[in-house]
Amino acid sequence: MKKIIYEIIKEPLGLIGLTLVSLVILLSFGADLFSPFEPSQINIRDKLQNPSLVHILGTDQLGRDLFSRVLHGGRIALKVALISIFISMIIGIVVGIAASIGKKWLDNFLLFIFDTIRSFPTIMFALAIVTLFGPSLETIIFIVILTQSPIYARIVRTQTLMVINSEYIQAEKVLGINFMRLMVIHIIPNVVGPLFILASMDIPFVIAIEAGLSFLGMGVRPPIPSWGSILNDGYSFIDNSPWPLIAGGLPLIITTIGFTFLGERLRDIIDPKLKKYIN
Amino acid sequence: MLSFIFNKIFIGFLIILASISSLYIMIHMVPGDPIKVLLGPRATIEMQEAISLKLGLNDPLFIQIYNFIKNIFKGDLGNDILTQRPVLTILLEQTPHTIALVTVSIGWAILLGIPIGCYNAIYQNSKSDKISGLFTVSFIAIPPFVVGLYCLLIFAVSLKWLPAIGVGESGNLISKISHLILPSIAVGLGWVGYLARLVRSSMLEVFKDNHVRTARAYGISESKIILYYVLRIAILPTITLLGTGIGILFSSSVFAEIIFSRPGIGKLIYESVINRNYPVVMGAVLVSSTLFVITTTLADIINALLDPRIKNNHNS
Amino acid sequence: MKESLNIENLYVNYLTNKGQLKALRNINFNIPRNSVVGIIGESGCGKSTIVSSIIGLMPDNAKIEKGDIKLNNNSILNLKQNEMKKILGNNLSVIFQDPMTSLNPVMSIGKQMILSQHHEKISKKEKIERSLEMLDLVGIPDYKSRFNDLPHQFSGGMRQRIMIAMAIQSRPDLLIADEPTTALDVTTEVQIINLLKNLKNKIECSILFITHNLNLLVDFCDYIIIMYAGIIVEKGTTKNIFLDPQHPYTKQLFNCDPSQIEKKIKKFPFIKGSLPDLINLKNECIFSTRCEHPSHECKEGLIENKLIEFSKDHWVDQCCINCKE
Repeated sequence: MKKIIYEIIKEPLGLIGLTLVSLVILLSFGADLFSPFEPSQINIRDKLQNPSLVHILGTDQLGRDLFSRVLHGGRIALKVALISIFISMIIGIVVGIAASIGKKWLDNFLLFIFDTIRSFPTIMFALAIVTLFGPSLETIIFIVILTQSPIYARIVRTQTLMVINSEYIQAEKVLGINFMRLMVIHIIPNVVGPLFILASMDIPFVIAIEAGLSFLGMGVRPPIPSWGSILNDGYSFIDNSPWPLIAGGLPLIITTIGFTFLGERLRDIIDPKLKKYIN
Repeated sequence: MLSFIFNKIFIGFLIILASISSLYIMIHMVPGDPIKVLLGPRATIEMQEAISLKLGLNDPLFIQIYNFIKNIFKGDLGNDILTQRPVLTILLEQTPHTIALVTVSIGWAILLGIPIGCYNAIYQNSKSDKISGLFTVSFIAIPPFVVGLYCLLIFAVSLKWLPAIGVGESGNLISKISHLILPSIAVGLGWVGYLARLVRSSMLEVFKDNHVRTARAYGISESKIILYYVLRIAILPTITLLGTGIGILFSSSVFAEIIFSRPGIGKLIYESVINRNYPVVMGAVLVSSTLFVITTTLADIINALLDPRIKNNHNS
Repeated sequence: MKESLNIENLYVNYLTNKGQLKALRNINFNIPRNSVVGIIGESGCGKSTIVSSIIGLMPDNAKIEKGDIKLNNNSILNLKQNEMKKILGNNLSVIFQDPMTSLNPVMSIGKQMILSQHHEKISKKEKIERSLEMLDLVGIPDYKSRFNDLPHQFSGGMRQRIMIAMAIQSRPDLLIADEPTTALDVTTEVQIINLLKNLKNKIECSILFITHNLNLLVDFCDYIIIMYAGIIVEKGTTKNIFLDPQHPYTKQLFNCDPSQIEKKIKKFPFIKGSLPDLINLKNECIFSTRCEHPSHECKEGLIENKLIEFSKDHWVDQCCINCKE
């Protein structure tokens, strides 16, 4: 474990990534601990203040402390990301393996569905779902799962096909290999690596989707603070004070950069090992 | 070669059909009555039924889809529920703005991204490579709408260097261009990052190839090697990426159009779904699916033209 | 000038994360004009390192510790990159091992042949004519109509012929052939070697021929160099080496050649053991781990691994020259 961490922080990409991610996770999960105020605490007299010693990031149009709102928003962002990616992965694994092991028509059918989903603008999709089910956190999770599972399924399918068609497996097939052994010893190790890399690159993307939808009013309902809704407030009051906008955007930038840097560094580390394993 | 193209076009058609049909089905699961929206709460039952008949909302789903597709070929996409203007007209008005935005955004990506990627591949692991690597990954990481909002805040609201809203006066090219700059940066910045990374990694792969070694063994100059041997092959994944990324571009353009109050397909979709403006939604989805299919097919065809190996794999 | 190529006291190291790998040590040989010199050795003995040292295309972790390489009596070892580029493809040509990947897949062979003539100050039309002449010389059927074909439309043997055509276009002083037939089937192999023989007589160049096939060596080369683990263990004229091999490694190589076996045996002969660790070189004779009868002096490294003259045009490593084989 220590060796992995050392590998990661060797390069500036990994060092910055790991630092930012740790910061975000710490502050978000400890939101209650670190917030000086209640995120929903309204205080109209103090509205739209600039940052001060009391309000580190200033206040929004209802006088709520932006720093506290940002911390709690982080918790929501991470929650959405972790839950939806986890479920997407499970679905992706099941569908991906089914597509690669099953009949050809099933494979073609699933691929076709995947391409069709991709041709939809995500926004379109999201809007339709939101108007169906109403805006909420659960709706967002549902949307993310719908749009992301095909991507996981595709990677699983590609990796599984690669294993199944490799000469090594052909040889074992001739010797009468059984399914469980095939799965556990050959397919799973080959799938886990790319899947893990994909997931780590996906976290910032999913967080961005959640923020974007909340920005459009499709996500969590007020007064729950999502970074997107803070940005929305900032946008509405952009002429009055830049701080809500800055406060909403800053954590997004830090989180997305942090996770992406970390994901890239992990990929640089895992990929050559994967290639060695495959060869 | 021709069979390859026809194959692609046919599948493209199927995809468009599939997306329209599934959309139709989805929309009809949405609660909320368009008729009430159109006519208001004091509509009588007779009026509702008349409109219902006119819009064909009583027929079974298959027939509706079939009629819709039949009408498309006639050029009739129905009318906007709220204003009764023909959907086709609305689309023809709005689409060019989005196309302009997307084109300029990709333009940024190509003009900046490819040279940066190229430079970084040649000077791999130098200080400039590492630093610009951090930047390009950041460009990819930051959500486009955040880029847009910050551009708006810094360059339009605070510094007042560039306009914040709209497309500019018609007929005035300078005005139009200045109104395109910030939104296209918002949409295009991520792509600058994508292309730079992709070009860099493809070139590094090709550098290792044996035929590059051969070229070096003949003393061919580095610049010729990069142009004729490396870039020629490394550019292929870039084209594929651009082609398939149109979907992502669309989502970003929605945000850019909303944030900068630009007219366009993205904003149209957003508003019409919220207003349950079915005909407009269908028309807009038709446009976006078609654009997606056209660009991916074009990308695949250009790819095959440039890399004869793909054509041959298909034939054999 | 008597010699096309001189290599003197060449020492090359590779820097690995486990330490310095001493890939070449004390390499000395010459290639007389218009002769064919063959180098034979197993994988990892350093033959490819010699090639990359000569042409100056070495990986980043390679370092030339000592020595000199001279082409036509001019040192080329420490030339700057742009100086070296003037020589490559001009006075010095290379053919590589794998014809399937050595040509640019998205460019026609004609265009590649024209590009490789970039040193010449002649018109494009003349370059095309020259290329066509070369393609005819190496025996490409329908060379005129196939000038604009892509590499994948040719078989492996054909591609190697195209590579040879490209290499001799510039009438080089030295042609390096780095295992040119290893990736080809046996029939094609014979054709290519015959082609090279014919061409050499027509073009008048020296050839440095790297292989691990003994038969080719004996058939084609005037001089043979036998390498093991980074040093030359024996070198001399083909006749001397073939008729009177001295070094135990050379003898074992000849023994292992199936075509030399005269009576029936149950098992194929092979050379036991494997290459020594070139990072942590020990004092002992480099061949002692694989020798059939290593003496006390061999194991203690009391005799330095160095070539000494056994007879005219026949040099052997001094440790094994005294071997009681």
